[in-house]
Order: sequence, then structure tokens, then C-alpha cells
Amino acid sequence: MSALVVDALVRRVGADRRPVLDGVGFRVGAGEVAVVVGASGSGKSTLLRCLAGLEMFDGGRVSLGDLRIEPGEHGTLLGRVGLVFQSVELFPHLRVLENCTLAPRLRGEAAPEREARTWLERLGLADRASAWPQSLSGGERQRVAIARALSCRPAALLWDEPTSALDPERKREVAEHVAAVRAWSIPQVVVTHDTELSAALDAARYRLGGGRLAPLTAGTE
Amino acid sequence: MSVSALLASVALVASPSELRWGADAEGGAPYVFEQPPGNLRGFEAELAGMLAARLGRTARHVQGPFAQLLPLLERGDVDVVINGIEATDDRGRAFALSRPYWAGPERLTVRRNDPGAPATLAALKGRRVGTLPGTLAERMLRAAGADVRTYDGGQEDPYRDLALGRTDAVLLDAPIALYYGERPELTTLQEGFGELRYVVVARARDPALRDAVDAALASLVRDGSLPALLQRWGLWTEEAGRVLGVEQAPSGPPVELEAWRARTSGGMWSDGVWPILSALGRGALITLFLSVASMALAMVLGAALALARVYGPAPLSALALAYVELFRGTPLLLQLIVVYYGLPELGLKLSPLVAGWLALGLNYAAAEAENDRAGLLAVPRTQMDAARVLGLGRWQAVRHVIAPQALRVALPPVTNDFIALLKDSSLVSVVTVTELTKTYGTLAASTRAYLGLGLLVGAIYLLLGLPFARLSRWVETRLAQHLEVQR
Repeated sequence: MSALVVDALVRRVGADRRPVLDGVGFRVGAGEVAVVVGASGSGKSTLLRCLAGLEMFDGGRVSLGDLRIEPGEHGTLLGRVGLVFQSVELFPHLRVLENCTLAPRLRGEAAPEREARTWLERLGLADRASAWPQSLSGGERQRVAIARALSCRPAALLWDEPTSALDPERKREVAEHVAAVRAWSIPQVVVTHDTELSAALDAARYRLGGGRLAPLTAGTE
Repeated sequence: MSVSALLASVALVASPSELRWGADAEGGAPYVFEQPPGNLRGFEAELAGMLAARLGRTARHVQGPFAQLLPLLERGDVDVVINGIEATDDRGRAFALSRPYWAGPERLTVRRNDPGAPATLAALKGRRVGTLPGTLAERMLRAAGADVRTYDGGQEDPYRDLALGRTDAVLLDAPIALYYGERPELTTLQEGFGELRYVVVARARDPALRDAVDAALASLVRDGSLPALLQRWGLWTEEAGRVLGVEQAPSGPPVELEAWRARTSGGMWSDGVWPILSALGRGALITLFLSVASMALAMVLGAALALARVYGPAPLSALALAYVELFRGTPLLLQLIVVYYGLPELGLKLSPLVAGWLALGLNYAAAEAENDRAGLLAVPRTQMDAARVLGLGRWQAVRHVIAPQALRVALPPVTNDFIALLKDSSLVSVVTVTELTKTYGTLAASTRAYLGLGLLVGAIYLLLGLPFARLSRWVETRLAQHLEVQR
């Protein structure tokens, strides 16, 4: 598996072309985790959306393994990078298993169901395969979202504020999930302002502010 | 209209061996009416048959609303109009008019027990007087300064309102007064007013047909069959004798008039139960078929419009918005008339059923587009993001993620719209489709059972809509099953 390298990423928005991201660069190796903290409005979500391929960027480059994504080519990242949304975003009209198999099935993969069941099992959701998302608890939903993302075999996994919608006792589990995914040797980026989560992760830490990313040394949080 | 005639009108076949004659059979005695339902009668129906025979053709009646008969003629859907059309200078310039086949006065009908009942034209000044629109009677009433009330719904209505005291008098053609003004509470004055002449109307660019009709009429007068026809219907007048050039009044009893008088007191089922029910069943089938087909068109087109508006590129989105505004902001009746009578000017001539289907479908597509758009917008934008991140293409995401969720929001109003469309489909009678409401009008006019038939037809509409309401509830439950679960 291969690294995610972000190089001098620039993203401008609005009529005044204000840079939200103004030369962001960092590297996450396979099986490694990067944590990005920052005040709300600092551009954390924009960064994740750019890395997921949902939003264009105006300058710089994103590399994913051998793949080099220049400005205007962000769509190439769609389907290659997994994203666990803050609001989870399960598809409410599909059962848990169908949530996980929809994309692989449309992509014409051989045995999407077996792959998805494996992930559900690993995440302790084997008995929930035919449940509707509405019947699940918050923690279960997030685990389904993780299983859904991994069923597509992403080359990287992004997490957007993964603890914000969870009960306090469930928050601890997120760090366990992130740690478990390391075993699949893909780079992970976790955006959060949850200091507990940040501390619980074995990760490189960065702070996003003023459109730039700065390494966070221990004790300065 | 029989089923074969309907099919023929769909195909719009204009066979040269036919004489297609336009007339409104609703409320049309003694001119053209159905008795029993499905069986065309009236002195003009007989006249059309005689004329066609003299021309070596077969007569085919084409149903149209009275006010639309001359546009139908212009459009080429009929060869001639034979429906108590008065010869006027205006019409003489715009059309080829035959020699008169009948002449007679306007007659004034008043309430029998009304001490202040008007008896002269001058006495009508300022009084409420009923008549039919666009007639010589209406022009005479306006000239006399009367407070004119016109009725579009048939010849029965003015007399009904007069009997109920809503008007003070009715001035109408002598044949109408004879057949509809005869009520216990009404009386028609002996003295007639003015003189009107009924003529066969052909297109101005078709003078040869008019000349042939004139020759046929002359021969019908010569051999006495036209005078005898008028006499049988009780319509012989001095004026008719003069314009037809017949000195000797025909003999014989007015058998048709007597038959009419005998049966109008018979009530709703006087024609028998089966003919009434089969006529209503035929009308209901056409209503149902037209509504289902139109709704199918509306749903497909509406979904496409909504997708174009929400997910299409800017120019397409603007086009879809313009479509919705245009069809939602103008009356369905206008759209229907434009599709049927207007499009032929551009060379697109649609059969009545197709025109009705298209107009209803295009109109309701605007409503469906708005429903579907509301459904699409009710799905959070982040659902699209989630689908895209998983690698679904834009249209795959719409199809597999957005649309199924949007449908649940969009479906309940669709049922409502279908019921509305079922009722609006009655408007297609203006383009000569005899659907359920038109059938009701024709039956009610010939039996005078407005209330009983009205209740029956209302019940049929309810029954038609009911299965679809049930179906929609079932689909709604299916679509909402994922929301029913308890945690």
C-alpha cells in the first residue's frame, strides 16, 4: 500500500478568491495516521472534501500512491478515498448490507456481498446486516459507515469529526476503530477538535490555521 | 359517439365517400340528440342522412361543442356543419353557406303566473332575459337593452332558470322554445320576433360542396321529403314555406314532437337501464384511459423536468423552469384549445384523443415536476456527497440514492394530482372527445334527469379514483417501511 502526499494545496473561495487553504502540505504513509485539529472555519472540512474528491482545488497537488492529482482533476479521487462523514450519511432506504454493497455492485465487483459481510463481522455488526439504518444506535451507524467505506477498498480513509455525534462512552471506541484500520496499511487522516481522541491516537498531529498546516508538538495543544 | 367512430376520429380518416357533419348532440333536440344513448336522432340528423344520400356519400356525425363547430370546420375535421346555424352576413363572408333548410321566428317564453311578464321586445328593456350565446336572439336582446344572460350548457338551462325565477323571460329560436319551453310553469307567446334561417355551412374554399348541398336541398324540397321531415318534427312554419318555395303546408301529425313530449316526462330510466349504463360505461372507460395515459406522460416528463432543474446544467435548468412556469401559469383549457386548434396552423394536426392526452400530460407534467423537485430537495445534499465518495457517478447517485428517497416525499401529492386529473379530463370534451362528463350532459339533456344522473356520474368518478388512492397508500407504506422500525 502507498502513501498520501499533499503538496502546497491551495483552495480559493468566494468572489474575492480568498484562500481557505493556502499551501497546505503533509505526508501520511501507509498504515499511518495524521490528525488535523483547528478552530471551526479553519478549513478542516474543505481540506477533507478536497482529499475525497468532492471539491476542486486551485493549486498544488495530491498524490495517492502512483496517482498524481493536479488542480481540476479532483474527480479522480472519487471512489478511491473513503470518507466517514460527521453526519455518517448512511442511505436510509437501504438495509445495512445494501449500504455496503451498493457501490461495489455498481462497479461490477465479483462478490460484493461476501466482502461487505466480512467487514460487518469485523466491526461486530454481523447480526445487523438486514437491519434498517434507523434502527441502529449512533455507534452502530458509525461502524456501518466504516464498513461501507472499507467495502470499497479505498486507498486512504478520511474521518470528519468522528466523535462529535457520539455518546461519551462511545467516543473511546473511535480510537480503537482508527487503530484497527491501520492493519490494512492505508493512510488515514482524522479531522477533529476532540483533544481526547487526538491524544488517544498514535499519530502525527497538525494544526490548521490561516490556511496553513503546522506540525503540533506534544504539549502545545 | 360509438367506439368505431371514436377510433375513426383517432385515425382522422377523411374518406371522400363520407359526409362528415359537425353538430353538438348535447341538449340538442329537435336538432341533433341521442335517444336512447348512442342512437343519434333529430331533424338535422335525418337531414344530414338525406343530404349525404343525395350526394352519394354516407353521413358521419362528428361531435363538437356548439361554440367550436365552426373552428372544427375550419380545421378540416368536418366537411359541413348542420346545427341550427343562422345565416348572417359575417358568416356569409367567412364560409360558404347553403340555401336555408328552415326559417322561422324567435319566440319569447315567460312564466305563466308572472303578472309583470314582458310581452314585447320593447318591454324586455332592463329585464333579465336568458338565451344562448352568439345567436340572433342574443343580438336582438342586446339591441332591446335587455339584461342578457347567456347559457353555454345546452338548451335546457335557460328554461330551467326561467322556471326557477332567476330570469324574467327567454328569447330563443322557435324549435328550441317548442321542445324545451314546454313546462307547466311556462308559456310561450304566440307572436314571434324577427326571422332566422338555418343553413348548411361549408368551408369558403369548398364552394363546390356548398353547390352540391344546395342542389341536394332543392331536390329534397321538390320531392317533398324536406317539408315532410319538418312537419314530422312539428317545425313547419310560414317562413319555412316561403324560403323553401312551398305553398302547400305538408300534412300529417308531428309524430316526433309528440314522441318527445311523451318521453320527457318519463324520467331518468325512460330509455331503459342498459343504454344509460352502457353509455356511462363507455364514457367512464374513455375518462379512465385518458387519465391514466396522461398521468403516465406527466410523471415521466415531470421527473425529467425535475432532474433537469435540480441537477442539470444551467441552461437546461432554466428551460425546465420556463416550462413549469408556462404550463402552470396558463389555463389547461387554453392549452387544450391551442394544441387542438392552434397546432394545425403549424402543420401539426392531432386527433382529439391524442390532443387531449398531450394537453393533459403536458399540463400535469408541470405539477409533477414541482412534486419531484420538492422530493429531490428534501434529500440532504450530503447524501449525494456520500454516494459520490463511494465512487457512484452523478446519475448513478441520483438513481440509486437520491431518487428512491425523493419518491417517498413526491408520491402522496401524485395521488392527489391523479384524482384532479381524472376530473380535469372532462375538459377534453371541447375537442370532441365524449368522456364521462360529456356523456352525462348528453344523457341529462335528453332525459332531464340532471340530479339523478349527476349523482350516478359523481359516484362513477369516485369509484374510478378509489383504486388509485388505495394503490398509492400501499406504495407509500412500502416506501416508508424503513422508517417504521423502532430502535
